[in-house]
Amino acid sequence: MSLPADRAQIDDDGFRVSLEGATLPDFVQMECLAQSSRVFRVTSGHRIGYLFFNKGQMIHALTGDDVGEAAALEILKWRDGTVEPCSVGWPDTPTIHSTWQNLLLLSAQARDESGRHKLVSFPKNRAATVTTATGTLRSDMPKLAKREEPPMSAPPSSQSLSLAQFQAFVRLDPAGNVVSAKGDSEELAPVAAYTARLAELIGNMLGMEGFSSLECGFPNGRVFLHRERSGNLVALKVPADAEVGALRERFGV
Amino acid sequence: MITQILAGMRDVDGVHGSFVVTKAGALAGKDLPPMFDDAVLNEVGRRVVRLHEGLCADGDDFDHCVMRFADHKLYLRSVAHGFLCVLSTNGVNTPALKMALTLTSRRVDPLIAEAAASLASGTPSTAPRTSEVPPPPSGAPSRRQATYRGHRV
Repeated sequence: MSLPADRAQIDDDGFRVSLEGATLPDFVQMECLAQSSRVFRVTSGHRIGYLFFNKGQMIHALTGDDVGEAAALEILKWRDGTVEPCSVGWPDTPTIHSTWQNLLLLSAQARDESGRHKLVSFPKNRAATVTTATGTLRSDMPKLAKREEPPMSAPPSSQSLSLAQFQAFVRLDPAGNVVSAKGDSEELAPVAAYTARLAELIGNMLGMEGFSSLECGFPNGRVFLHRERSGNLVALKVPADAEVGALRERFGV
Repeated sequence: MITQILAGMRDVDGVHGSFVVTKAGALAGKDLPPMFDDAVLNEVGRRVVRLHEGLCADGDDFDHCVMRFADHKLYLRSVAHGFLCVLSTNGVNTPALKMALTLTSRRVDPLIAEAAASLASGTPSTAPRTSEVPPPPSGAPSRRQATYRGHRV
């Protein structure tokens, strides 16, 4: 991976850097800790993606197929390539609301579950030190990633179902406010809130307390609702061919 | 007849009972313990219809819906003329239940249509139902149909 000379065109001062053996999580961590505000083009083979940093947070990402968090996670999977600063247009609004620490955790989990690579592929001669979602430096990232609860902004199934498989995801607080959302969630949020309320009423009338989950199957997809212990409601829309066994197990439906 | 068909659902371990409602939400038949009175099931039916309308707001009809509660599950199967609703424990054998739902829904659907037609016209359905469906508002309640808190009077 290299960071070529274009950087000098954007920042007049500073070093020109070329790093062999670095990984994208390394790079993201470095830029965010430096409170960077700029755009990078990431090239890996025939794939091209863009990462947008603003004041030390990754706020937008773009690939050929995805935008936002899904694109960022896709880019973070890439094993080799080059990173160079560029000057493409900024988005009107951020498309990534998770912290960069959360993104790195999700990326690490995805790698862990793939079973093909190390959790975070830091160079062998470096201590594997990664900043966690709480901002503290830890050196036991592989174990930590398995123990940590998913962050509030992450879909509950991110441990078992790729984020890219969701058509839409939304988490609502008990008052119906959107806590986090991804994909085509504008229609999903009111449907989820209304359906969950009706399910609770139906359950109460039949003497069944404690609504926790709902699965609804359509010809072209499925909708899952899950009432978390916090009272938040999670709604997911997935395509019909998505593997949902882990979701069902987690939600108990 | 509807009750007899629905009784087959209880062959699956963990199924407490079932009931069917029309597309309008009216109770068309039930196979449930007496504590589930018809007034409650009619209200549940109307909410099932609203739930269906909410989930299917973009035009696609759902095939099935399962709700999980603390100790129970409620399965809904959408059929041409209504909904088949099954109450079960959380540990119910899901594949067996799905098979039973498929077979039962095929057999019960024509009878739901008859029940819906009879409810609309105010005449008794040709398919005898053992459930205590409330009388239509236009007709004078017969002695056989009168209920009080779910019990015939």
